[in-house]
Amino acid sequence: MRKPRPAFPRGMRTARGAWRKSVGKFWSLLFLLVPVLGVGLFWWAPGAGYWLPRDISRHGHQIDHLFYFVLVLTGVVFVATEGVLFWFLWRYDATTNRDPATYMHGSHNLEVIWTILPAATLLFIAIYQMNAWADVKMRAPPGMRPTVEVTARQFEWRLRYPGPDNRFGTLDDIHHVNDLHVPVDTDILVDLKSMDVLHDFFLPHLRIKQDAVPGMNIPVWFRAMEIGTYDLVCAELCGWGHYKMKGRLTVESRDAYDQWLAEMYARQQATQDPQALEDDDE
Amino acid sequence: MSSTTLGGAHEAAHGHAHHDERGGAARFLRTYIFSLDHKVIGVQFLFSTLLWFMVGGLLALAVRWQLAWPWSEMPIAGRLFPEGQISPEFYTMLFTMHASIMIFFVIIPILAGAFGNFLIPLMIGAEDMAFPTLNMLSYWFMWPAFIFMTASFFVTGGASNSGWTGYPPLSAIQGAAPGSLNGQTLWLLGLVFVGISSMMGSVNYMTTIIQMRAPGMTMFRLPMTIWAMFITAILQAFALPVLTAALFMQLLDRTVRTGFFIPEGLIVNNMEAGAGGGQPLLWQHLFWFYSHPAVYIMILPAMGMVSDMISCFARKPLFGYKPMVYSIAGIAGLGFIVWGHHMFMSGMNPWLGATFMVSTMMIALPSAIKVFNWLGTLWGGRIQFATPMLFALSFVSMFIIGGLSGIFMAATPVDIFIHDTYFIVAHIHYVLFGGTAFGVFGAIYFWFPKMFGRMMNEFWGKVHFFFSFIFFNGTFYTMHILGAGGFPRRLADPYHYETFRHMLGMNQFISLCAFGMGAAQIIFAANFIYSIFFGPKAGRNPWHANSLEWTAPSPPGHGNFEDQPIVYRGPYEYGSPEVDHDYYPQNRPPPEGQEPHEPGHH
Amino acid sequence: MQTVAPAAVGRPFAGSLLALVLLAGCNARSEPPQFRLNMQDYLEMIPSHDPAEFRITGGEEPDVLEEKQRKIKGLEMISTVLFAAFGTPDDPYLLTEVQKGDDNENGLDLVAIERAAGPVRPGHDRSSRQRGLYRLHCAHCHGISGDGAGPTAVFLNPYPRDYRQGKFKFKSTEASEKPTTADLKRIIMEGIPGTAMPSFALLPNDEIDALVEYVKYLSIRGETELNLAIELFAQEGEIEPDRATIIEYYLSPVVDLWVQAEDAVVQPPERPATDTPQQLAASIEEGRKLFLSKDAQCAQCHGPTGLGDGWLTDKTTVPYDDWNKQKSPDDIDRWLLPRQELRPRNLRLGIYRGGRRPVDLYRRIHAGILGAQMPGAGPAPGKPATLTPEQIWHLVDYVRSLPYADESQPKHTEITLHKPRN
Repeated sequence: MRKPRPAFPRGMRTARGAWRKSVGKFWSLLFLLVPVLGVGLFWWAPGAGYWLPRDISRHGHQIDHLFYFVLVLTGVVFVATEGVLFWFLWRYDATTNRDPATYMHGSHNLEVIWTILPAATLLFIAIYQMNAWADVKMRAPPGMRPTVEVTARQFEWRLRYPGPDNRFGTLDDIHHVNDLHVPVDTDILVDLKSMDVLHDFFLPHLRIKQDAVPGMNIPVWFRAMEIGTYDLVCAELCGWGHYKMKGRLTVESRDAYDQWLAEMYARQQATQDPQALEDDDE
Repeated sequence: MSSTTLGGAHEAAHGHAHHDERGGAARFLRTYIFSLDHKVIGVQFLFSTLLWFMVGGLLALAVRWQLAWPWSEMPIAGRLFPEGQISPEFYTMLFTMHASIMIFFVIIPILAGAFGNFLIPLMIGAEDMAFPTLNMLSYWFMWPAFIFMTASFFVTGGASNSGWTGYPPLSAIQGAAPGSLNGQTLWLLGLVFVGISSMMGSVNYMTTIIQMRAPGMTMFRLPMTIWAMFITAILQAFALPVLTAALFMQLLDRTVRTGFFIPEGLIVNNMEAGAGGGQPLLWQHLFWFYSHPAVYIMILPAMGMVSDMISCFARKPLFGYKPMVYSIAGIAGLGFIVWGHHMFMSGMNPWLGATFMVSTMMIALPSAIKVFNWLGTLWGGRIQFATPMLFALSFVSMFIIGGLSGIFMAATPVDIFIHDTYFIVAHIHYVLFGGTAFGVFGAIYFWFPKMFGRMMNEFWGKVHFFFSFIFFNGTFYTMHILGAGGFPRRLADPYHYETFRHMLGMNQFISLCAFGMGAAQIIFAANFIYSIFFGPKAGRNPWHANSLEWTAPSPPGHGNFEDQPIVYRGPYEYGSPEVDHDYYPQNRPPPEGQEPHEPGHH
Repeated sequence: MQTVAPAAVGRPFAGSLLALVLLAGCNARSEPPQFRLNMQDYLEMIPSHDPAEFRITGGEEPDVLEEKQRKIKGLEMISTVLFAAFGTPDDPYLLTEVQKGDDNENGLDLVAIERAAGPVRPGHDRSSRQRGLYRLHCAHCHGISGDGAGPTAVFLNPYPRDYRQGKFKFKSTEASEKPTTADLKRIIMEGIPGTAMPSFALLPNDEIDALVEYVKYLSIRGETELNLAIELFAQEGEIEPDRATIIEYYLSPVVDLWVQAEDAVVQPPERPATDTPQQLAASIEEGRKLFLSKDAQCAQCHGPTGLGDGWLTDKTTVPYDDWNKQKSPDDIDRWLLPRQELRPRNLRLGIYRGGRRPVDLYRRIHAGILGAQMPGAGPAPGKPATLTPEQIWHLVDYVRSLPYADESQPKHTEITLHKPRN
């Protein structure tokens, strides 16, 4: 048996510096800033225009609801834990805390509580959201044929409508690029493909996002509820021109849509020089 | 033993000098370059990774420049570009290489390589690693990787362009992107070597921790750092083979067109892509089967080190030692069955998405338990706000944010909207920068005296912490808001889209904060380098900590301990009633006539 | 609501921070970009093909030195003339004679050109006063000088167009003519499928117009430059650098070509009736025969099945277009972009670079593709027509039917939904 080492000198050495009383409080307050500013920023952002883009889809409210649900839930946990952290730092700062450190190694009951509570909550979220997921990715409108075939390629969206015979792969298919037109308040089934690399069909206003994978035909469905034009974004890195792979979703009334299709069809069958491309797309 | 200059390395040199009768140059090589001493190897890892940290950081700043002032001429570096603006493929390369370097050259090797190497033998009371030569090789196998990655910047087409995830076909077809010409091949080779290095390290760590613990050092007396390193090593050993296989498959796809990941009939850049018959999703499954566990490889050791620091500076035993161990193990176990959550939008069967979502939700649980236990450790302590403690506390504070934002992504329907947006960027940086990197900064301040025998400057350490903390949150917290707006990542110019045009102002704010954060690291670099040479001398145990490394000299000589330490208790006996002082080193024999006290378990 | 970008304040601040980080540098701004002299084509005009012709190393023989000095002086003159007539990328300029005005409606629109020119604004605001459109959307491929050699160009297949030779492939006019304004606009809006040229259809109309005008400006500038070089180097002539001479002999001829192109549009005659499936099938069959016939010679390059593989068996054609042909393989380093091969189209993919409308295909067959190996079947100066308009229409029908033939279709056309697996 070795001899015990000599006792270490008590107190702090120069290395740890001399603590002024306020220093600990200062750092505690810095950590208090995290929840304060954290919640504050989320409070401020929607009013300042930095928030979820307006939802114009039929299913999107489910996603937004879940987003807010998770936001509130995590917000409460966030404020609680960060608040506790601040309070412990403030209260048990060695310079002002007169009590000796508590000599304890844990608490069985607490461990059980803070295992079961979050487990139950997390399980609840998991089950709670299944339905929304199924609506967007599993339950396609039954018996529907694709409205439009979207083929992503570096760096544009090639679009194909079936044309008057309502079938793909015939001479009267209507081809277009980047400007996706759909009728309002109608189920749309997109047949999503890619010619070269991975792309992602992202409609922020419709809460739709789906990778386009070469070699796969992936169905995407949605129903747009408001007339207007919206961005179609490529959200999966597809090469140097990824950023310029910009598309547009034009939601229009049934009549305008049919008229547009007819116009596109006529233009595509042109055998004489049309001035068609002049001054459209305004 | 004297400790005049280069700390551990110097001491190791003394140790070797007795046995080495060869010439000066050869001796220098044996002791400083091809050293077998775990401390020298650890310090080598530390220096290498810190240098790469700087490179990766500069790449990130260039990314931020483009996002705040797109296409406008960058100061100084702007001269590198022929058209006076960052070209889009250069931008793509910037973020690809930023992530690749930070993940594979900084975070993984600084945790396992630098701290794993330095701390494991010291903390378990061994004189070195089980396989010193293997240990040396694990460092030197990083060098081919360093060279490949560096070279990739200079080959035709530049470095890899396909994101750090290297998704095919973009990465696997040479014509698909400039960086896929040669840069991607070098990238793959680089990763293979990183993998070999990690594998050597993990085998060594596992063996050392199992076999070489000091007498009395039972598994449940190990410091949390060692537990984390142990489980990380297991994760590495099981996940790496899959990544290595995937890397070789992509390498073959690129060079001899095997077509593992290339489906039939692709036309890329006006060229037919070759045989086909493969599936792009296969790469994603294989890659994430490694890279999701790798996320835990990148944070568990930091969690361990933070646990040690918090307990030490709260002067109080770690709250719930065993639950902490079990939750690390739980994270590691669950970590193998959650990889699909990176692929919710990938075209994978949505039913599979639903199951991965449940397992992903569950992995939040052990993380939550760890946070509660850290808070429990602080409760009732006597908290000293030393620089390492500040970084450790900010780890907890930031990890709470990173963990909670993960729940948004785990919720598959919400992920539909925020997938591949800046919400993800914010999340990963809260976990890996606010979490791991802050933890590592803390660890550097904490173990610096042990490594180099000198203290880092406390005042400048706090200044470094203050500005890092403020600017870090300014940079990344705001990104959550961008993400909520759907702002997509990896776009060289997102302002083409009307939806995102108004976010330019916030991006400029973020970039200014990022530049501030970059500038704050200069303080750290100056403090670090200055303190190595001129810092005040540290005693053996400047923080009055319990674990075994503090009983060795600072820096420890070759063989670490003057005599074999014998362990009597766990590493967290702060404020024990058995002794007068508020700490109770693991190897101090209990007072005469008193039964060794084992804290109650649950 | 939009947060006002603190660009004016932010830029120097951020700049100085970065300067600190990089531990470098005093002056953060480099020179504004300049148009690059068209060295590629000049060198081509000099018999020895040697860039050293333009470099004085010292120690030359007096007569060699004199020759070199003459050439260097010639380059300096070209550059001076071009600067005077066209300005710089940041600050474009047009002589009044070629500027659009009340008395000159055929001129170029300087206001539009100025909008397209210039650097991208740091603030990146997209108001109507936005400048730098060309550098924002085009320059990284087509280059600041319009030489088709921007930083990204080398990775693309085919290369971006070099405007400076004034040759454009896909247009509504006869092969030897310039494209019309509408043609350029159409290309910008629709993109060129099968190449890296994407569609810019979503840009506002006035921005597209400005870009079209700027492309014409770059092309006219480039061709004027070429005319001057031909005079100086190829014909060993002298140039009197006064305004009238420059305009009359070197600038106006180019501008006139652009003006006259507007009247040289190929208008196909009425096509034979294909209203019924039978008529259409008959026309397609007629086209198929023509395709394989010796008269039309389609199969020679495009292959008997239209897969674009004819060149594999027939080696008589040169597999390069005009832009790549002039690059000799032995001194490839001299060129900004290495030589790239030309391949006949695979007609079964349904990818039509010049447009997929029947009228587009008619024009392609009628006029051919300038600079590529595709000959025109219609009449051209000094060459009689090889096919009648009716025959061309049959070919159009045949070619249009190819992608929809059974053997061209992918195996799966119906999409499969993820169904719950029980």
